[in-house]
Amino acid sequence: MKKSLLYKLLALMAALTLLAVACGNDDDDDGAAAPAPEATEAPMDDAEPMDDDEEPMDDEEPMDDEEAPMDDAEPMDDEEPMDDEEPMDDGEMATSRTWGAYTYEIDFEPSTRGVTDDTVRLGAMTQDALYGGFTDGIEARLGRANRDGELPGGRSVELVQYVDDGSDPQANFEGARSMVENDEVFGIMVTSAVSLPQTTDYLDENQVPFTGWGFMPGFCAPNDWGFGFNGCLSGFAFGVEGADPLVSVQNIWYDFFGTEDIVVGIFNSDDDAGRAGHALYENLWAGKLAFNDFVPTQTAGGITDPTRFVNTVLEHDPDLVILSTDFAGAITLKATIAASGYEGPVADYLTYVPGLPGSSPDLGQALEGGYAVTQVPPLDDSEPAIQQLLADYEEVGAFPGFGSLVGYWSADLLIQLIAAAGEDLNTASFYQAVNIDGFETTQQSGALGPVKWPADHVIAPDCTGMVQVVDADYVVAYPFVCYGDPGR
Amino acid sequence: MGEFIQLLVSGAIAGSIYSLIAAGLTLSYTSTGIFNLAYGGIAYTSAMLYFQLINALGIESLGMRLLSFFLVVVVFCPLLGQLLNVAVFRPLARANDAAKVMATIGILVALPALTDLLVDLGTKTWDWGLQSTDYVFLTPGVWKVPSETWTYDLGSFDLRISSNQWAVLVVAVIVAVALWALMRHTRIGLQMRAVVDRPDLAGLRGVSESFTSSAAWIIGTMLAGLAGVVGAPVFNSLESNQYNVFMFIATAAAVVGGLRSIPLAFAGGVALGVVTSWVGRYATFAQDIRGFESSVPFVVLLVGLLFMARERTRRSGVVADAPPATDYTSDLPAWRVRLPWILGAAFIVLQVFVFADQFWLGLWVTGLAFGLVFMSWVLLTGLGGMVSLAQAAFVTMAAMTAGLILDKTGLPFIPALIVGVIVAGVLGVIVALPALRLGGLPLALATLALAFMSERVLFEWSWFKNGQGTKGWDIPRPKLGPFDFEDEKSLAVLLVILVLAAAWLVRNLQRSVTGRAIIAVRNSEPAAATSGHSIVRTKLAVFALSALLAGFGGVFFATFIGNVTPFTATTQAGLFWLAVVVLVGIRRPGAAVMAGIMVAASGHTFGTGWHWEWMESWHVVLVASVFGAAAVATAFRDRQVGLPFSPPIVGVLAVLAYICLARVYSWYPIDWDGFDQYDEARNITAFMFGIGAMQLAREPDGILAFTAAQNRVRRDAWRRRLAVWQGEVWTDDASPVPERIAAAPSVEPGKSDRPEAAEEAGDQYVGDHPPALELVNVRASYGLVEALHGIDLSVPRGEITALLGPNGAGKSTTCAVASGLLTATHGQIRLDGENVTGLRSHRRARRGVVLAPEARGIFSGLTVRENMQLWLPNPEDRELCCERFPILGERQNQLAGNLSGGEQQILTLAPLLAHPPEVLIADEPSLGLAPLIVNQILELFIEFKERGVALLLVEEKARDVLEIADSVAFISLGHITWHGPRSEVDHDQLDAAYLGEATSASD
Repeated sequence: MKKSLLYKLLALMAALTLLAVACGNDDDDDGAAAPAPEATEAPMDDAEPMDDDEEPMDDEEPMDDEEAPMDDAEPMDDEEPMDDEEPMDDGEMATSRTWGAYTYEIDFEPSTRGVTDDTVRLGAMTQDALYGGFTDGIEARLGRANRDGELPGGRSVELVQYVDDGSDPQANFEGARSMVENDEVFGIMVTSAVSLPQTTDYLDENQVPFTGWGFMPGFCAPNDWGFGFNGCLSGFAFGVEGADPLVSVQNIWYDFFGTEDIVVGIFNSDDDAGRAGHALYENLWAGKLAFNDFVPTQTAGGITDPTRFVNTVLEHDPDLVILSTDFAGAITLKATIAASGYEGPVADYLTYVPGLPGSSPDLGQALEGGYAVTQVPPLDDSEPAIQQLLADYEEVGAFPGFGSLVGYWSADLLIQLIAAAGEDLNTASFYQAVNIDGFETTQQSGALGPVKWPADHVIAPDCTGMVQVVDADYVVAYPFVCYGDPGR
Repeated sequence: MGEFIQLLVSGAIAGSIYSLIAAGLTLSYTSTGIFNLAYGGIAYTSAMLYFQLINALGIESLGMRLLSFFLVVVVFCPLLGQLLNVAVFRPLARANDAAKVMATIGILVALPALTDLLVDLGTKTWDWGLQSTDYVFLTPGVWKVPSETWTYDLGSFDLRISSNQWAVLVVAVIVAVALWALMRHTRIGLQMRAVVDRPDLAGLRGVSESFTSSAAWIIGTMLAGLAGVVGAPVFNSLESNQYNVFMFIATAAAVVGGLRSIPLAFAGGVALGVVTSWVGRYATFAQDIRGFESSVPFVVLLVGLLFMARERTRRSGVVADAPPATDYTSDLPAWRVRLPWILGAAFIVLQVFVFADQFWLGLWVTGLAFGLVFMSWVLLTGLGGMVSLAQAAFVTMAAMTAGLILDKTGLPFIPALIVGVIVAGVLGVIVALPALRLGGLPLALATLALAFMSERVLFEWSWFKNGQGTKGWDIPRPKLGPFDFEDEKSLAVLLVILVLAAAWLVRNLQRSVTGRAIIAVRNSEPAAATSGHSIVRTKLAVFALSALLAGFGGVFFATFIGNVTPFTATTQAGLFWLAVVVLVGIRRPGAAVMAGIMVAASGHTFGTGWHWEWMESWHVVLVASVFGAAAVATAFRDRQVGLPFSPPIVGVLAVLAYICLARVYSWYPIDWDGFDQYDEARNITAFMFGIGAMQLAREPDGILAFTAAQNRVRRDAWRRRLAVWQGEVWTDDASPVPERIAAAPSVEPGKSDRPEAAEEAGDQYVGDHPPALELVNVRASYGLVEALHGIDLSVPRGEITALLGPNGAGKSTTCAVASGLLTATHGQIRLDGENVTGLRSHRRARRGVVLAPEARGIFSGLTVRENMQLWLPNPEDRELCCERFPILGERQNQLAGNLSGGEQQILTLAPLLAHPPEVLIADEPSLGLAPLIVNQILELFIEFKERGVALLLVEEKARDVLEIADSVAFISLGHITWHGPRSEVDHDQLDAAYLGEATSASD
């Protein structure tokens, strides 16, 4: 007689689990069997309908830079007044280091997870719908690292796993666990709005270094294994002192207009980032604000009727309109404000997505003439770093779209961090090199501003650039610049 | 003032998009009783299809855009609507409210997942020329691309309207006019309204309910599709969850229309759009309350539902009509019934203690914690009959409270857990408040509104969620006395114990006095109240208990993942959970645990393509063959033993086979050579579980009971064969398997399952002219109670046959069986000698059988003219009818419900006179009428008789009918006790017919 489905399911589960156990045993010695990374299509083709939950972008819209801490005489890492570290002598290693309120020391068992004599296994995770082409950028950068032998000891780096979390926090968490426990990766490149503390805390507790666009709180202290390629961007949102990333944006506008005597109008999304940004703008632009309002987020139904926002703009007629909203909000408002006849610059933080304005007539029209402030260096091919980047992309036959650039800079950072740990690579040597000895990225001109740890677990480098859409293409409206102390 | 009007116009345009969906919701709900929560998914799918057509074909001209628009709205949507109608909605027509809600949630989960999967396939794997939907925030409009905006100078202010807004406006106006014309001025509209008014009677008047419901689904789907295509460029969205939000807002509009009135629903949508715009602009006091603006529609939804509840006369739980769970295992020994559960528990314990690695331990912990959460549905829906879509909110509530307590007070885990769970219970009581007034669908919608409001306002309150941002609260793993649950294994062991304890508690509660009180309240509130149960207390207690349990599971889930944020359990995720619980079974704690484990393990199982390096390709091909063979075998064996094809089971097996092969041959989406596919896995599992929930929503015990019933059928089949082989007589009276699962052989036209009996009965009327209507050895029952025990009755044409009998004798049942409202379980019904037993009422009506049911055969919600129109589409016939009965002419435009009893009876019969039917059955035609009117009616019957109609008059009071009848039959306790010419009737027989049942009863 036929077995019932119940038995079938139980049998299936038994089989699954037994095999999983078997697999777990096998995983230990088959690093070499890891599959070649998937070469995906051009980023804009990575179709994935926009996915649920939070708009990832609006979590980071207040941009980098922390001139404020400098103004507030927050002790800068450069002078290291807060460092109780001994001056380093040859042969003598510091065992701990303090930066601000946080102390860094090795209180865990060293592990060589994912490290063999000749390879380092890495993983990647993102929400493909927003960062399509993420792995293209990673492959481009890893390819150069392997070609040039950037890792000490002749090791190569290998991308063994990639997870598209589909904007599902549970999938993000499970994907991270699976990469660490099943794929046994040394580090992960991750950029996703659903990399909630459940994921980043897990990575932190298991000593898994992760790099990415640091707009999620997991990239900030007290976590000491998260490394944002432009530092910790969301510290301000939960009151980390001295982490106000909007100052450089103000500076760039002062430079743009050639005067500080301007009136701005700002729309913020009605969510965490927008609420936090709203408060920061109130202080930052005090006396210069025409309006500082909220718009509904896409998750909550979006802007179904933009009329009243356009009315606000026309009524106040500010010199500049800043859209500190999610992606859909920025585009909707840009399109309608432009159609209303307002002539000043309309800028947002999200729409620098190479290839985007040409992708549809509607988008081209909506973005034309508008500005986008960007944290990722614009593709200005007069810069050596960008020439290098384009050459790297050519090697893998990919197109540097937005998600791809995020992947590229995440990989760039992770490789530099791993290289800093030296030939004797394990979690402890990594931690020692980066968090205790102190680490600073080295970049060619035109790349991201130098990033430093442990300082940038708390704050962010103060760099920003600006592009404008002209004839459905991005042109650099203001070059990528780091305010404050370039020697940080 | 200028801005006020601007906002009125632009808000109304946005609102008309909700109106389109709301009109579809109302239309299909009133026509079919199913509130299709899946219209959001349909709108999304249509918008996506339009977008892909425009892009894939590189369309640039207006003409081609309009063509694509028509392809989507006029070709695709009707096909989709009809497909859903046939596959899901039609079989659901007679199901209970809970099943209807849960089935549409199944579609809501499955349809967008399928769309996303196909778009994924079309962009990544197969070169279909589809376009990626990354960064698609402006979708192409129908009229102008790129869109154009015009400024209209209206004196004191400017009005700006874009081409996309104009498109919405034009479509909304056309739809409003077309809907009005359709419903008021077409036959199909009239028929739909008739079905809404009185479904059974509509069938008796020849209106096919399946036809009108097809029409309703097709129109509703087209409206949703329209909303999607013209709405996408206005709302700038191509994201499935957002369309669900629009649909929930449209739900509020439909509620404004009382779930009945299409014009009001339409107006409600427009009003919601306007109010939202005004609130955003003028309610400046609310600027500090995050999520206030986007919560406005949900406040409207909730208030509307509560207001509606005041008008509802019947209050009940959702599954009032649900029979108790059938025990399909009654033929098995107790150990055999429990064996699977014991094995299952042993399997989990073995896994947790011995086999599972670190990663799988995590999945077990997740699954068991979800099991606890899902058991809350076993309490609330399985036992209490109330559908809640807010369980995810209880999870978040408890976990966030516990996190807050742990962080702020430094209390240990247990007190924090207790406080968190209690607070969730309090939220449960608040969510339950609407339940005191609402049941069924409105309750489900109210819980949804409250869940969204919690999610948007309460959970986003920065004090409650630990500041701005997504930092959330850390929830460390507990340390209880000497036990430390830091590692996955001890946590899993703890959860195994907790799950077993909770299952035991729920099981006992189901059987306890409290459990019986809950069932009593669910089945009949008034009855429960009179037997001393407090309805308020019982309902609140069930909701609170269920929230406590969900919260309890939620805290343990949070402690495993280590942190809680408002995203830990979202309302939309809760809908997916419900689909899975429905699929497995909503009545048993064990099923809930199984559902939890399936949710936890599915992502990894499907996402990693079964990641076992030691397996050779041929191993996998072998496994695939086994699955494939099982799928084929299931499909065929089911048929062999008389079981219907079971799509969920065959489907699951087929998918498993596919996944195995895909792993070997690198087929999409399990690309074995590449990376894990978590996102695709999500779509596949959402699709599978959604489909399953759609299929199994009618079976409250889900797939487990379905399988148990199938196995019972198989066992019975084996026993029958065994009995035949041993030469014994097999009786299957004891088998509890219901028809829909056992697929009892239906009585086909022209065949009889007892030919000899039919012949016997037929002998009496051997001749050239069989009687117009003939009942041969007919048995009929309501559920398990048989009301007719083998009736033989013939009604010749041109004669009046009176059927007399006391109250409860089976008269109305005879009418129902003869007219097709009730299907005979045995015997035959013949028209002109032809077997029509299998025909439903509208088919019989078209063959000339008309029943004038008890309490008047009129549609009280339609006008007198419309009532006549249903039988007499030709205006000339109606004029003749009005000439003959001037009162009908005078009152043509009045609602039929406002006529007097006699006038209503005339309205029932008069139109029939214009086109007399073959057979007219009148059930108690004189009931409650004045003697003068009765005489008028009797004269009408004589006229029918003279025109050759076969009349069957069914009466309790014999006197009037006896005067005109040609022959008389007496019925008592489901038997015909005497049948003969009127002349032979004497008073003793008459007395016996009414009083003599005592003798038959004592037999």
